[in-house]
Amino acid sequence: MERDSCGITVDETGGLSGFSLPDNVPKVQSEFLTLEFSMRSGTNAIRYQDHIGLQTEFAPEIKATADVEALLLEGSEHIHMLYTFRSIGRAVPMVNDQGRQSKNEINLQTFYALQPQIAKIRRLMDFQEKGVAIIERCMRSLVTREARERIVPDGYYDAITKVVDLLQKLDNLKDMKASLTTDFSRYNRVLQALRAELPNGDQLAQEKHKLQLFLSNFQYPKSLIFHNLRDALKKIPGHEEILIEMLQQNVDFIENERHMMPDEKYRLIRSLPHLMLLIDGDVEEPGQSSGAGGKVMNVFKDKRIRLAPLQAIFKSYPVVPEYGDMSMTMLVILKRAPHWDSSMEKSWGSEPDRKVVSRYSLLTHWSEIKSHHAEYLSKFSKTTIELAAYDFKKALTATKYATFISKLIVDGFKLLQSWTCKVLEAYHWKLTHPYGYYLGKAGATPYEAAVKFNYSPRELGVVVDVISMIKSLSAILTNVESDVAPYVRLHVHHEVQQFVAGELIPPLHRAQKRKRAIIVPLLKLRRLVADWPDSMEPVDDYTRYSRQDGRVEAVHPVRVVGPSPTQLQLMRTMVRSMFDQRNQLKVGMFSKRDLEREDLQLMETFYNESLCFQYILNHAVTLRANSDLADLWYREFYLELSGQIQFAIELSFPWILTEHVITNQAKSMPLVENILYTMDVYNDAAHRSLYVLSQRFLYDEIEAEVNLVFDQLIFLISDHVYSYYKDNIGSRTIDGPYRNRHIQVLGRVIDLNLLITQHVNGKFYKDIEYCIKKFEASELSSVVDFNRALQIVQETHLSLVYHLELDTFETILTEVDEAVGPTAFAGRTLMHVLASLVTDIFPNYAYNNFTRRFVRSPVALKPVDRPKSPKADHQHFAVGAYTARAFEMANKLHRSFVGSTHTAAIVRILGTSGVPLLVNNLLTNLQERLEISKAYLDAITKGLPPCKLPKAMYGLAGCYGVFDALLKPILAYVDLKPEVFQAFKEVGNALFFIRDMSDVLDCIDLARGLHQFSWIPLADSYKPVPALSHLAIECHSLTCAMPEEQMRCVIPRGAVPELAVIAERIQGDMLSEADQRITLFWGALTHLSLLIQPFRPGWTELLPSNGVLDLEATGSFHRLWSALGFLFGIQTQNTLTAAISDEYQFGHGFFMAGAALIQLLGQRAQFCALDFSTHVLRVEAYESAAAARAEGVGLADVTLREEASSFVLLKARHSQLYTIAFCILDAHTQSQQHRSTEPIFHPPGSYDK
Amino acid sequence: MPKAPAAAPGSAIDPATRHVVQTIQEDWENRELVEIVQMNLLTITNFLNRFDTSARYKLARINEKLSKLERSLDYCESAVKSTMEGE
Repeated sequence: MERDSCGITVDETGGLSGFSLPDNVPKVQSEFLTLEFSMRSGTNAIRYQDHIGLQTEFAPEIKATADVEALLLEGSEHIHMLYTFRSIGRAVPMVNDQGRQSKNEINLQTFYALQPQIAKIRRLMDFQEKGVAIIERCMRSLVTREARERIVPDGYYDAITKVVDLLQKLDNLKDMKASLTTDFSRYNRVLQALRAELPNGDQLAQEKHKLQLFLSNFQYPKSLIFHNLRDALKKIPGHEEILIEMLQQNVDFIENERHMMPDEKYRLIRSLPHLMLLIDGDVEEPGQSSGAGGKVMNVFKDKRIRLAPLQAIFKSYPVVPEYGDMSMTMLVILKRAPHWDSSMEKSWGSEPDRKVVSRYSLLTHWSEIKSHHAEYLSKFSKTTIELAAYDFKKALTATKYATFISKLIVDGFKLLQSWTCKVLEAYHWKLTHPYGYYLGKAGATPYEAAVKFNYSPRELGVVVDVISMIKSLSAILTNVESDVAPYVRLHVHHEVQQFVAGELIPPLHRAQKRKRAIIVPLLKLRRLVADWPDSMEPVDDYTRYSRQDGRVEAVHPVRVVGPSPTQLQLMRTMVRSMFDQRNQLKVGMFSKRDLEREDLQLMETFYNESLCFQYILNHAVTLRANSDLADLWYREFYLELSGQIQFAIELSFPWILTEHVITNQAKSMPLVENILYTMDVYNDAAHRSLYVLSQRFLYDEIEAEVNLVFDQLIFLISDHVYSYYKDNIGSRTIDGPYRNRHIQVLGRVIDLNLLITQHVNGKFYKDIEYCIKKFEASELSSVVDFNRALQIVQETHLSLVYHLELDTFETILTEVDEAVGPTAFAGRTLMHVLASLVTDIFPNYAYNNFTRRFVRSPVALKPVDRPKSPKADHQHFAVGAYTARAFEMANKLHRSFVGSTHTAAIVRILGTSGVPLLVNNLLTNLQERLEISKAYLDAITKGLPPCKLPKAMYGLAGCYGVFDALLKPILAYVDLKPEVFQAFKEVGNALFFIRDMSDVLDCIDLARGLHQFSWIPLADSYKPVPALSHLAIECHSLTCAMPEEQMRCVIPRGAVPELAVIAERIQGDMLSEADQRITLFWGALTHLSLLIQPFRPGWTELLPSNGVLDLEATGSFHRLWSALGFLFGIQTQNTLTAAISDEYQFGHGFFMAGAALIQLLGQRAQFCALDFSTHVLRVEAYESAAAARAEGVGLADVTLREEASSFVLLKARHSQLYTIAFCILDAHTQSQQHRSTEPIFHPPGSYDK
Repeated sequence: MPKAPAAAPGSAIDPATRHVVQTIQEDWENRELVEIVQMNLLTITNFLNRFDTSARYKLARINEKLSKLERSLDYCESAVKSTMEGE
């Protein structure tokens, strides 16, 4: 690229864009700007001073325009002052009955406090006088004969329109602000008291009088300024003509949409009724001359005014935004016209029809806006990529692309403008049409009726959506400014040069050939802006032109700069003067033949196209104006109206929108991603308060509101994030806002992600706390609920940890479980499981070995007290709200018993470290239980008479009778069932529980082994032994058959990598490992056999009298157990619990306890041989085998025989249970004996001694 | 009706007009230079803003990791403390 004279190229800093600066944040907020920079190219900083160098004939007009614009600048300060004016007088306390001295002091202080306020009013008064004077001066110069023959720059009329609009705004604001009068009257009172004491008291009093007239004029109590203006203008003859021209121009501008910013559009519309008001003559004085030849001007009847387009505008815009939250109803203004007739009302849109109403509703435009947004964005994103990919080339060849880019930007601005207009129009329509139901109600303020109750949820949703579309588009356009800026300037420069040095050649040629006068203005126009190559104006280019050349491509230096505002303004004025019919007729300078139709066409096109130049050159300003939604926050008008200092946050429209987004996310439209765009309204408001209104107190109010909103927002978002993931809906549609690490609110940068992380982290703690508390408050059977809840929390954690830096789940769990620290093993859950097992399940439940379930015994011998269930302070705690019902239904099935599902859940919750601890504790408890019951057992042993097994010849009844007679007395022992049986039941229950747990662990081991199988071949070129692979298939089919519940606990998440490591390690010795597997139950039994060591002496006969087997001695445990076993199941008639069978009450645990103890004491053989019940069964078997001997000795009475036979039935069942119990014990002990490499311990035989 | 220009087509332009043309020409050049400087400033601003967001993002990440570390340190500390008390 060639360097310019000063050595700076357009993309001097282009290298900066080469840096990759990742920012992993979704685009859900307006552009994040820490530094703001806007180019001044479009602004008119020198106020048309350069017109001198341009040697233009429009110098007076340009000067006047500059004056008027300076006035406007000053005026806008006054508007801001008035809009934000708040009474101080009201805040200063009234003091009565004070001593003279202090009263004076107070008055003086009040005076000083009020002085600045009064100064403001004074300045306003001076300004309006000045404004009216300047307009009057302009008018006077415009109505002169010479001026009428000249062309008036349209910017001049525009500037006057602006002043008219400014004055009417000031008027409205002044009338609306009661605070002005309040402060003034207070000042008045103080001044009267102090007049004598103040050095300039008299002067102040005089001034006060003037102010009094200004604030409350008896002649014009309302809109004094405007009346002053009107009175001033009425003195100028012929002013109507100028005003009519202005009116026409404004109508023309509105119709052709010659405006690019919302306020420009509304200013044009607002100016219409006011201009008409200024035009209209007074009715009261028909005799007086009103300038235009003695005839009173009637704006509604004058022929020069075309009413139809005016009426159309009035009809389609009945309400327009005035300023902030002030709206203007067009008709109200027009009705002030002296010639207004109420019969005209309808034709000026007094009754807006349905079309107009729907035009003011965003709902109507929503789908259109959406499709435009999507269409434009898709087009634009392609261009953005292109812009980033290709360097800007300062050459004529780039002009085509530059034109394309500029059109695109203009389109974007226009879209933004129309959307913002729609939002503002809808908002102001609502303000002027409050919800009637609430309006009359006591307690409902006008603002409530206008804002809070005036929107349906759907409307709110649409507003939010449209706002976010506006903000997202404006963010993109802001972002792209530095890329498009050279293209835009290239385009503007080229357009201008092409027009003056290219398109103007043919008309110049013709004018020169035909010697038309138009050649002078044409050449002037050309000289005004032309940028010649070699800095020399060619003299003969148009003379050398011939018709055959066709269109001329201008040759000009390529530049990236637009014309100066003065140049642009003048050029457009000149172009317009040439094609505009009205000007032609008026000035009579050119006739139609001077320019051909295509020339006129060309001029008009250029005029229209050049409108946007100043806007695209002024990118940043245009963008801000077109996406500024601060009006939605400002409510000074309504504050003044309701006499309040500030409204509650619930009334604030941005807050209503924000709240709507958060609370209605799951409903009709997903809006969560838009939440930060909604917050942008606050940013706009804050920006306006600081940079436009320059009012600190407004910023403070906004800041306070935003602080509140933000707290709520964080709370609601984190809440929402948490419950969202909790409900496991799965998709990630909401991952927009909360991933944002730096959102900018009021210029402060906030790491939203961090805040939400903190909240969500806390939620996890609370959630688990709640789960554990709930578990602690319920029976053990709810362990399934607890397990599921924990699983859900864990999975939620797993999915959230992708997005947020959370504590690890284990940390949270152990912390809440209070199992922190290397020495604290027993957490709350473990303690609760243990406690419920020992205090509830074992004593109060009966085990059934067939179903493998603990079921509640009919009589709870040891009822348990539990803490109250906690209240969930969050509906999504535990399993979440959506699935809560489903889970409740599923969990209900597991509530009435404790079975394998529960055991599996317990194993999962406690983990590998918890289970041994639990078992150990259970066994210790078991020992304690045995110790407690030892005394009872000893008592029974003592009372047990020696008993030899009766001979079979006594027959069934006989044998039964013998035992019955011998043992029945024991039944009468009160503590037998509640203490002795209960004790054994508890022991047996514990054993069964450990057995079940052991089975679950086996299952897990098995599944782990299977996983290892599949990993080992991968880890090495290991070939599985055929037999093993066969085993693997077997095992696989086994696990397939496993219930789902167990599968889940068997294969925990994240186990695979862990397994891979294990697999590698165990690869070599897998076979022996499989061989050496030790079951938990075996371990428990071994441990138990150690625990019962102290009992051994008491429960074994040390020395059988015959050296082999003592048939009668009662000292050994198996003998005691025979007696207990015999009595188990036999009902005593007189007990209260007669109806409940022992089996029902005590379950199978009783048998297990006996079997285990007998086995561990090594008395199984003796027991089998000498058990009373078994003996009876044997006799019965013998008897039924030899039915012939039924009539032998020992025929007892009938009742005894019946009793005996029912006893047989009972005991046959019991003997089955013993068999099963022994089998279980065998299975677990033998398997170990077979495989263990340790020497098998054989109990000492009799011959060893 | 104004007459045709005094300077006949093809003839030299009078010095006053030439001066105006010259001035305008210079104005174009000067303004373009200002514009280019402004555009480069805009690029720099843009870069700084991007740099700022990126730096903020990275700092936020570090901050997050640090606070997570702090939390786990707290956890460890309390674990160790409870052990000491237990002894």
